[in-house]
Amino acid sequence: MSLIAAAIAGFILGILVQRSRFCMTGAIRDYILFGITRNLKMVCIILGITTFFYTLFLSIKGIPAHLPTMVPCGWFSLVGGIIFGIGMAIAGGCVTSTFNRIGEGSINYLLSAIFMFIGIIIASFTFWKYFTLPFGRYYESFGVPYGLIWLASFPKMKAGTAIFDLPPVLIGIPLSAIFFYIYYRLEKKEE
Amino acid sequence: MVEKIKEPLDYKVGAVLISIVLVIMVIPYRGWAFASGMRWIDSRILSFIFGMDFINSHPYWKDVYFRSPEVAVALAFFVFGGFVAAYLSNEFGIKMDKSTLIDSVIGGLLMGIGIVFISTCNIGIFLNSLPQLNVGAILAAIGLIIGTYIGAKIYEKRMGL
Repeated sequence: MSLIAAAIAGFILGILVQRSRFCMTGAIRDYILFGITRNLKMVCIILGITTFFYTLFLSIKGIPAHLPTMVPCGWFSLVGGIIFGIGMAIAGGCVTSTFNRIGEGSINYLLSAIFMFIGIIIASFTFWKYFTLPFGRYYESFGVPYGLIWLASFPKMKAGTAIFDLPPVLIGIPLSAIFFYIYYRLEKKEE
Repeated sequence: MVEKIKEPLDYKVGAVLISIVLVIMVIPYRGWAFASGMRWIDSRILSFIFGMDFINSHPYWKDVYFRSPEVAVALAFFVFGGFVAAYLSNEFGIKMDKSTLIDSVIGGLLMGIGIVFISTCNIGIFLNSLPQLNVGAILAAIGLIIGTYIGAKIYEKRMGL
């Protein structure tokens, strides 16, 4: 079931990304280099909509969504972000646009993807063992595996032990409003 | 339908459609992040080369090896979707830019190393974990913006802009 869902979702996203020329790297890089905001506006729209719905799903019990997504947290998040960011700006595309352009027949991006596979293997043999705890505790290195739940239960900083016990959507609504406001400002700036 | 695919999408329409897919797909599947798909494929390659004893001894690979292949299926169909869209709109063609081949290699390697650090790709950080205000994702997003800034400056120098 989830295999079919994954195939359909991947296929539709592949078509949409190719047709709308969505590129996450372009969003940041084009803005820094040329002041082009097209992709940045796309990111703002997507973030505005998804933030609202993800937090809504997290607030309502009984929706069988695959949320929250857990991401390891620690100093390596920042360092890894910087390394990845440099890489994607040099290669001219993140993982998503790289694979999308392989579909378009680009040899450059194929090469970039092959070296991504190699890079993962290299890093898993070298850097990885220096910063990870045993994998089960990897997600809890700050004691805060879920960000939103952490905010809603602020003083205790531990998931599931909320003091305020706010539904995450209360944070999601102003947050998505901020994203739409940024979009609005970018749109206005262009006019 | 085919006629629709031939037309380039307006960015606003594209963004809304992508968001709808993202919101619907977290229910049966999961968020949009293809780095795990790459890890899954890598774990199969490594198990083929070094055998299962190696996979079991290395927690990073053991974790992903036993996951459902859905992550790799989504990645494969994503490439296929890109191919179909490019083919229908006559944009498909084998292209190569010799002057930037080295950039692709170095950039690819750096991205691969970064994936191990942040355990997902930038889409997973920005569009999937950041909307949930994940603390690790906030840190990684700050890093990504700094990194892209540095990378863009390097790119600017190289291209002589």
